[in-house]
Amino acid sequence: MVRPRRRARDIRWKARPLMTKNAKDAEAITPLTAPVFYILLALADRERHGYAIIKEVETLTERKVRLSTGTLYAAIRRLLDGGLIEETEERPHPALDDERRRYYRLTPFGEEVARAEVDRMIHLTGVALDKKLVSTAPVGQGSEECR
Amino acid sequence: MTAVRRSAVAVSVRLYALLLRLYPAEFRVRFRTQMMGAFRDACHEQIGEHGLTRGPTIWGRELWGLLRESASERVRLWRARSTRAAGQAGSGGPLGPRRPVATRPGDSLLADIKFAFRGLRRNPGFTAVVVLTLALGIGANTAIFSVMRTVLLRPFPYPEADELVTLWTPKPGFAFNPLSAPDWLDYQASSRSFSALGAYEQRRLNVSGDADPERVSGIRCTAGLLRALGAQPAHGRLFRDEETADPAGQVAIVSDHLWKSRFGADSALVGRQILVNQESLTVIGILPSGFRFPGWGSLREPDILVPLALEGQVGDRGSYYLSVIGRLREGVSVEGADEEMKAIAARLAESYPDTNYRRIARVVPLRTIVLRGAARNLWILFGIVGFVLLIACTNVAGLLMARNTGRNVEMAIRSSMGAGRPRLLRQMLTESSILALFGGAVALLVAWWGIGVLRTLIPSNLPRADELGIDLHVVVFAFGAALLTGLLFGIVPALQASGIDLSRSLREGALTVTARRAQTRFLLGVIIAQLALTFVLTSGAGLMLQSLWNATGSGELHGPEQVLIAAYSRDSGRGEEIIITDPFQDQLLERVRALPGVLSAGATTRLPLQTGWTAGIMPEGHTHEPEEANRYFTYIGCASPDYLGALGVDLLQGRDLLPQDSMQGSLGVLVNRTYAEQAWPEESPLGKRVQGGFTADPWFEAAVVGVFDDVRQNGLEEGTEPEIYLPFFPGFQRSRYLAIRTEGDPMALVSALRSELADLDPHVPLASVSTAADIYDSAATSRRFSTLLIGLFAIIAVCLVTAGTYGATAFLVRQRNHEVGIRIALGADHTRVLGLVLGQSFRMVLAGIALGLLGTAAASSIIGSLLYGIGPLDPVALALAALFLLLVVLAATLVPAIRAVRVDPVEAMRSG
Repeated sequence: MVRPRRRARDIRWKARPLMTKNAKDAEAITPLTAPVFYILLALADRERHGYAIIKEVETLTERKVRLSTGTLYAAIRRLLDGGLIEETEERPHPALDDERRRYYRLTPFGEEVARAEVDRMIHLTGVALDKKLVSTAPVGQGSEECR
Repeated sequence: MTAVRRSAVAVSVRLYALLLRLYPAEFRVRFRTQMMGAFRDACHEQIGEHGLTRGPTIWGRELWGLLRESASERVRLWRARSTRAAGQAGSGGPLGPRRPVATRPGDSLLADIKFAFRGLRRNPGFTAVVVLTLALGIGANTAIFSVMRTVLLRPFPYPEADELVTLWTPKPGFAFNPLSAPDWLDYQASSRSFSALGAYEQRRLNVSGDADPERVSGIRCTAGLLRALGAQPAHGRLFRDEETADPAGQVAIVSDHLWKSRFGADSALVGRQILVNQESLTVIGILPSGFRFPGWGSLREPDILVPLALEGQVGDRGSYYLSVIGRLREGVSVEGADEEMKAIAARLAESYPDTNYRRIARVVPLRTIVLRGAARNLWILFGIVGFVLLIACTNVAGLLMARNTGRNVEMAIRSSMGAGRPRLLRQMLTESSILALFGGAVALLVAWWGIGVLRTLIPSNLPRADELGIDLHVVVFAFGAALLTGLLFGIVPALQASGIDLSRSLREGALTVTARRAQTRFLLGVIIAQLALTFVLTSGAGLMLQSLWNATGSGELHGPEQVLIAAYSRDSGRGEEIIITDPFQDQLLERVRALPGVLSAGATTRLPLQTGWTAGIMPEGHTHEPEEANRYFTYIGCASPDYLGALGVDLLQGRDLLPQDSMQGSLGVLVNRTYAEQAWPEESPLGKRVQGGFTADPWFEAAVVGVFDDVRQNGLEEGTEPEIYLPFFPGFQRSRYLAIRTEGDPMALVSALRSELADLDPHVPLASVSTAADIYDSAATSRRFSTLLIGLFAIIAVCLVTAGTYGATAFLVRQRNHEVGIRIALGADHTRVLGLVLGQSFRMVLAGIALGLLGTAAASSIIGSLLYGIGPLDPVALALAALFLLLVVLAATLVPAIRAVRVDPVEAMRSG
């Protein structure tokens, strides 16, 4: 007996978070895990699909971080559910488009969260500078001093 | 890429797909395609470009990621389920367990609305069908509601209109009878219940002088009448009490319409003289444009008002022609006024037993008189069009349910993410409300167009028909009806869609067997209900058509299209003798008979289908019993020789009137068959004597010279009453009607006729020109209108039911594809499958017809009140309706049935 094949259904889903959006809540989410922050960063300048995010993160981190699809999509699910990113309706030029790809972009809340995280890092960088853990010399030059 | 690399990629992708099963189903559904795509891209890039050595690296990374994250997702899901089961607000925040924060109710409603819009935009075909179906149903209801609003619900254009009442003085057994002038004066003098009371008489008056003579509608009324109505002049003033006493003031009040149409809105008209019935009257006031006069079943703008003066010219207490309207005094009820009037009536009965014996008084609210039967018929129409909306709603409910079966997985996911049933219900009801509101907006367009059509068709005797239009109330009704409709058709699909069994839905991706069975039952029930409603409508429409046919098949007159009817009115003076000749009329008839193409011509005081004067005419051989006075009330009119012949009425016995019959001492009259059969059932009526009145001193005595065939007097649908025609005596009535039978087209004679009349008297206009056939035609306007509307609604219902049946059958057949596939695979031949589907349809129709028959029986009294000449349970009509419905349904289900037969068993079983 031939087992009936299930057809996966594509659901376009825009989840509503269980939180209100304001700066206080954005801050409450930080600190973000590394993959999450990388993804937000990757989407900061334009919308991308899944594999493009992986490539962008690779570029941002100078090939130090390579997300697996499992990690990526688990994070995407959390970001979608949290309302930090959303799927876009716009598709690129049909010649470049692939129906299976879903494109994502930051929501305003996601931007806020990313900024909150950056603020946090800047603050910590300031603390590190105060404590003379690092100096303001350009990257690559003062590295021996920092250790 | 080399072949080796390509196959390596392919194998990897397959393996990956297998590993994805580690994730919970709901995650897989959301992201499987994308993850496969991303993985494939990664493989193409790494392996494809850099070779197989990258394989292990990719796999190492991916495998670890898959194992870790799939486990984490499962744990999260399990935690979410158990916290929900424990009744908490949800598993927490977006990126991990957080304390729950309250949601703003507005947020999710807005989200629901946006989501609903997106869903509708994605399915434009579905949205269009639903919106159009709803627009049709809601639009029809709105159009009928606008008629109801205009005719029934809008308040009368008088201040405190509830205080207005009418007075009648009937004998027992009758409902309404106008007052006689002496009675009116007595009631006016004795009554205390009214703050204002007035009497009036409707007349046709000739206005002549500055332009062509014109016959206009006039009201002769007392000053008190205008006070009772609370009328205010736009220019000038209204009547003073002394002007409507004797002698009557030579004054007139002109309506806004006449002022503009005949006098060019001349601002100096007030104070000028105009000629009315060749009398010079001074215009003292002009009425505002919104003024309406409340008549019997009408609320129209009269053309001119003149004083009614009675003191000194009182006349006969037995001659009833005055209508009375009064405004109740503060604190007096209708019943209280009624009691007082009845007491006055009793006193008059004692004082004047000849005329007022057993005559009572009745006070009836003005509203009842103006609206008459319109209310009941409109409510019936409203009920019928409500049926149509119900059918449309059930169609849409079925469509929604069919669409919702494709959304079970979505519902399951929403449910697993914390949306409880009420939340899901709200989402679905938001969608149906939006659909309904769109339907309502388009419905306004449908209604606007429908009202435009109605305005041309609506019978003019429906009060305030000229005011039909869309106003704020109608718009509010449309949207209110839309919202109610949305709730109605949305609730069942919403309940069904939100009540799904989570885990099974996700696993099977479709409805459970029990859910499917319930859905099938619901759809079948819906279709059967629709069929029942449509059966009632279709059989009703058939019955109405038959009634129309019965009512309009006249056959009373011969060749009525060849008979020209025209009216004129002229004061011919009064004399001592009752019966004198009218030289003006004789001259006119002589000239008319000489016109080319005229076969015969005559004159009368009352046309067929018109009511008019009645009088007690006592036949020979009968004695007067006071209790039986009603027995001898006969329609009385005057006829010239040749009138009945010109009109085309059969002469059954004897001969037509001749000039010598109007000689005093040898008066001859004609009676109709009803009178002859009632007065002298076994004997020949020819030569029998009749007298006018029951006293020893009758106002005329005559012999019957001929019997003519019955002609209806009270409209098309009442039976014939006794009727008598006397030779012309001018003092009887001013209005005359000419009946002229022609060879060719009667209307071609009109201008010649007009010039002959103008030649004899330039102040007398010719009016109300038509053919005899037109009289019968316009009498049927009201019935034709109702029949048209009911027929239209029945057609709409049939279309909706056809579409609904087709859709439901197609849907149900698709649901049973699996089963049908198996049957075919097991060897069932195609006829059996066809029989399956058609058998179900046949059973459906039978159930619907049975239910519909019950409905018709239950509503038979209501339906019967609309019919004429046929009963509501006429077996032929019901059988025809049943047959029609059967054919329609079988035709509608034929296409899905044939498709069921053509099903590919393998495909059917695979798609499950």
